[in-house]
Amino acid sequence: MSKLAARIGPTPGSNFEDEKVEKPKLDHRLVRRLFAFVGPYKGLLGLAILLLLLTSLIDLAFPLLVARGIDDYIRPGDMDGLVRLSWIYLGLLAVSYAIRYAHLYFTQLLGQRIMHDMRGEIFAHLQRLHIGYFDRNPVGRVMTRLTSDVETLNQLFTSGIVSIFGDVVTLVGITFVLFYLDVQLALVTMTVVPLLFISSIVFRSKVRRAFAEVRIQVAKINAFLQENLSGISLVHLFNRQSRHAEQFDEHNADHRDAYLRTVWYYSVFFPVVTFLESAATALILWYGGGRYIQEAVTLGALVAFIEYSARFFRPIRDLSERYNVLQGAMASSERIFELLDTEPKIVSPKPSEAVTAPRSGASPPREAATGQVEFTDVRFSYVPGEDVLRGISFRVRPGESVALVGHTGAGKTTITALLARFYDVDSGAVSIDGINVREWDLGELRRRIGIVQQESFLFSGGLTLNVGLRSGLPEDRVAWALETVGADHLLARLQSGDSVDVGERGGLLSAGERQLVSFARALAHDPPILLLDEATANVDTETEQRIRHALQALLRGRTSLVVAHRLSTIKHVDRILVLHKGRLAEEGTHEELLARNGIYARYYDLEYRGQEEPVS
Amino acid sequence: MARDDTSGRRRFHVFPYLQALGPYLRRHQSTLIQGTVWVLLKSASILAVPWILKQGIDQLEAGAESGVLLRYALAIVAAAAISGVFLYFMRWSLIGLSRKVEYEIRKDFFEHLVRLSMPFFDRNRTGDLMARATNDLNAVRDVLGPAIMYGLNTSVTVIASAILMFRLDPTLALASIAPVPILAYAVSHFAKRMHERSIDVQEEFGRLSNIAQENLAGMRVVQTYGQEAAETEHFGDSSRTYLDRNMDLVHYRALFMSTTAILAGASTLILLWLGGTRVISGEVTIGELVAFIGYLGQLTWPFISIGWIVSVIQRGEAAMKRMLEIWNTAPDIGSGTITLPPAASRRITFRDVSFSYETGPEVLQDIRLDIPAGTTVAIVGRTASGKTTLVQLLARLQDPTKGRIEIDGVDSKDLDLGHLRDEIGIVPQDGFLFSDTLEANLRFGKESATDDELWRALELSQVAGDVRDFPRGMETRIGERGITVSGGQRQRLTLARAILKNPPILVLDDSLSAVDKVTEERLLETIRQVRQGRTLILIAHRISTVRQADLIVVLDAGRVVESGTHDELVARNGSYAEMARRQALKDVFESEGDVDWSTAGASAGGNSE
Repeated sequence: MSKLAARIGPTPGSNFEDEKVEKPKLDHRLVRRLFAFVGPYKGLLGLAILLLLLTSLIDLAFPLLVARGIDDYIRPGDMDGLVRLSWIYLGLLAVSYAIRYAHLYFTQLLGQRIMHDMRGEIFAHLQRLHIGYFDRNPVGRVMTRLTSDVETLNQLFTSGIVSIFGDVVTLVGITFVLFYLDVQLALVTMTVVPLLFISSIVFRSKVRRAFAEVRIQVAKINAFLQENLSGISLVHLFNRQSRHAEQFDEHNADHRDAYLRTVWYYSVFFPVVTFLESAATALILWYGGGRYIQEAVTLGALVAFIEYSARFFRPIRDLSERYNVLQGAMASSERIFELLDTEPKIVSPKPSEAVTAPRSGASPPREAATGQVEFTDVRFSYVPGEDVLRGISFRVRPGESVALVGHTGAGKTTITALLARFYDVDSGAVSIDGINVREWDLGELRRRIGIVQQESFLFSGGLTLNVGLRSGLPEDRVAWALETVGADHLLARLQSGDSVDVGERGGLLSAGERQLVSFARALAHDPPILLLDEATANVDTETEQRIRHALQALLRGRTSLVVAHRLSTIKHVDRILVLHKGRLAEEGTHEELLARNGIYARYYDLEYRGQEEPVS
Repeated sequence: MARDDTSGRRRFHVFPYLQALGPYLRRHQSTLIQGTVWVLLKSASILAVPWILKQGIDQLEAGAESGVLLRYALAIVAAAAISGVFLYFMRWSLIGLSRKVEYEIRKDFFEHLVRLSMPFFDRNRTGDLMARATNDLNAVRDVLGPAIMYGLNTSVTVIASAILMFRLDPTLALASIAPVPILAYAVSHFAKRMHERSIDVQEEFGRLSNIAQENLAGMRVVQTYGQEAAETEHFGDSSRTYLDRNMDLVHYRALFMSTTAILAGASTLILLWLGGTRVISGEVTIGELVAFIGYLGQLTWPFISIGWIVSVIQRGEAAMKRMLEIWNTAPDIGSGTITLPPAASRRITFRDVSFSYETGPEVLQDIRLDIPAGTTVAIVGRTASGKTTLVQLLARLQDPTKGRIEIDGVDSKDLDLGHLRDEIGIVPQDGFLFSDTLEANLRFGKESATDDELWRALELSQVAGDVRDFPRGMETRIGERGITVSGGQRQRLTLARAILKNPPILVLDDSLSAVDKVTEERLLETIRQVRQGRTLILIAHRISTVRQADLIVVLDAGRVVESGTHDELVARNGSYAEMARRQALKDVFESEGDVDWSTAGASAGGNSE
């Protein structure tokens, strides 16, 4: 099949994203790194190459057998000999069938195993990367590295390197056999080869340029389509339908013409190849016929020559396609290594220096020293020069709940992210239990922290997975957590044996339910410190009640930083920190701050007044 | 295209979807016929080569001289040259045809697409529509080009070779073609297995991608709860399953490829044995044997391509089906016939209008609203209260589920759709501009506008200075590298576009949200002057924007909760008054910023952007 695809020619444009025009070269460093992945499978690679060698050689034998048959048995009239030869032919055919199968199978096995390793390595590397990396690289792009780039690379091993090796064996083998049969005839037949070679190269360069133009046109059509579909209401409002159809027609026609140029090159190239092949046959008949008359070659040899010359042409003709495959694979590997070379910016200190205070049991009694949080003159910016935090200092006592209040962009969520060390501060220090977060072993640090995001993140799958997560917590702990946060009906479904699937991103649950599940997750993991970004989504009153109760259960006995959007939360925390433009503007209890009649009092008026209700 | 036959009888079609290509192929009937002729001629001339070879070798056996051989060699070259020419015409006409039909289909497809109404685009995601216009169309094109060409080529070559071989020696012909049924069986058997396995592979790939996608999206959860190792292991398991599924597929593919590869060998073996025997017994000449080998060589390729052709057609069917789903969709919103006499302004009446999307609650409920010609009406309300929907209904981007909207007393459904939209200008919030020159974007409003008119519209929209600063002025292309048009600039440019159109009804849908307050006030003042005596609808959040309107309508959850002038509404002390009060407070708060509350004195950065 691949051969046929090659004959018809590639269809670029099916993947129009990431279309960088630069041409990667066969970089030695890149190749060496790629081969590091082959390392564990040297045996398999050797086997694949050996099998290929065998198929190539056996394929070479068939025309020779026919030649022998004609010369030694058919013309002399040796029936027995012919039958014997036929058996040999049949035997070889059977062997070739088995070997070809094995060759195809093991070559793919090699490629698939390497891909498996590569995916694993990329994935594991991604787990270590800092969150900032994912802020800059959208999920779609990273996915491309993990999937299509790895697939492309597979071609390097399967249809690239192994096939090129096979081509070389075939070419050398045929040359050898031809010269063995008759040196002069071999030389004469080979005169066609340079012509074929040149026309291949000319064709390749022309068609590559034509396809570059095609890619540009494809990109234009796609951009135009994309834009018109997203701006379709304007097209309608301004009655532009016909006019835009005309504009589209121009792109469409350019696209067609660009493709027709490639069609033309193929239309010329294939006849040239067919012609050259037949020309070789003619040469063999004419010159070889002369040699036959001089009795320098046998008739069987002539027939073999004709067969071999046809086989000789195929690898040369496919050269350009192989080159394309290699180029694509190089581009992909460059992108993959770029990802693998991205150093995680947030890493644990050396094991000898890292703080790894022993973790207290599954549900420990809270020691006095667990869960103290301190920010000392912290400055931080996501983009250099645009400070989000401009010198923040505060301390949270173990077990204390603190609300963070402030305008959008005041830096509330950033504070929670710095505490979990998703980012490192620009200056100042963040510490937990008196030890700078940079000195903590990263795993130990995060084991102390539970996180509930504004948009509850759920994995598709069951409740046990979403509460206990992949590393798995005991079933009863999951049940306990769900019960404690008041997700009774979910728990009931779970216990009735219903394998509740929450759907992609938890889409099968309501917003409120999703939040309860992420509460249960935090509770089940029982961290001394809880970071909670309250959801702003509107939920019905009943769920609101549940969430409020769950929140109380969650905060009890834990140090917590809550990005608060709700009045009820603000009123129930121990202390409120008011952030304004990257600074700590005020702090105190709700009543103190109201009495102060400053920034908080105004906030309260603006943001929360609507929520006012008869509170006890 | 492809609406049901008028015959009424349901006929069985081998290709129920691809038959929709009929009209296109009929249009290129002559090219198709020519192509077929080229295929025939090309096959005839290339099949001549083994025949000439046979003659030559028989002559050689008979003791011919070098000169005679040269004639045969030249004959081969001539046959090859002729066949090359035919091959050129064959590819150029048939593959070229597929590109031309592709162009025509894409053209018709786009024209159809762009006429479909908004509800359709709400239902279908852009990415999906794009895929149909590109990937699916490519699959259909492969049927038109390569599949038709190789299909024709294969049939002609097989039939012609068979005839030639039978003429040489029927017994030998039959024997050497004997493996063909085996091949046919192998192709269909393995193709089916491969198809099933590749579906498994696709499914597993979907699972694998999903795991990765979720992991990446939930990275904060993963890292906080220390799930890195467990996630890696989980991904590794899926990756491993994916590997196994792939190897299942590889097994059948390897069987398939090995089988097709040895088939030519099997035929050659039969020729060698049976043919050899018949040469020895004198029934066949050695030249004929060589010719047989030559014919077999010509047949190998067409046989292998059969499986490929079948799979291309299968894919084409599926793709065509997806395209037809769109093609057979009629626009939800149809046009009426009435054209109103020209007028500077229009009266708009909403009569008990309700609206909801196909699934979901009512977005608007029983809206009753009368906007006399030449007045300014402001619509305020929270996010998602239904303001923008109201405008969409007015321009008939959507139709109400209940009630009707009248323009100068005529139901808007009875109006010619193009005419209705000519009467309305909408400045949307997002400031959408197309990737074209600024001038082309402005001319959306009025195609025939003079340069003076263009610049006047820019001046009025307070954006003329910005345009002069652009490197190529009016010729600047939006979206060009290095050109950044800010949100505020975009909004003012889209405003200019609407001012240029100067329609009887102008709607500003929160379209000044990204310009600063001072500019906004100036713009509003200009608009009021320009729009003197014409209908103006303002959707806004800022009280300052709507204060001077003749009528202010407050929407909440799809209902009109209050309406009146600014003063009336403030006096009423309802939700509008509350909004006004809060906003005043917020204004004070934002403008004071650092000065009052910052603990460490004033810091860098202005108060307003």
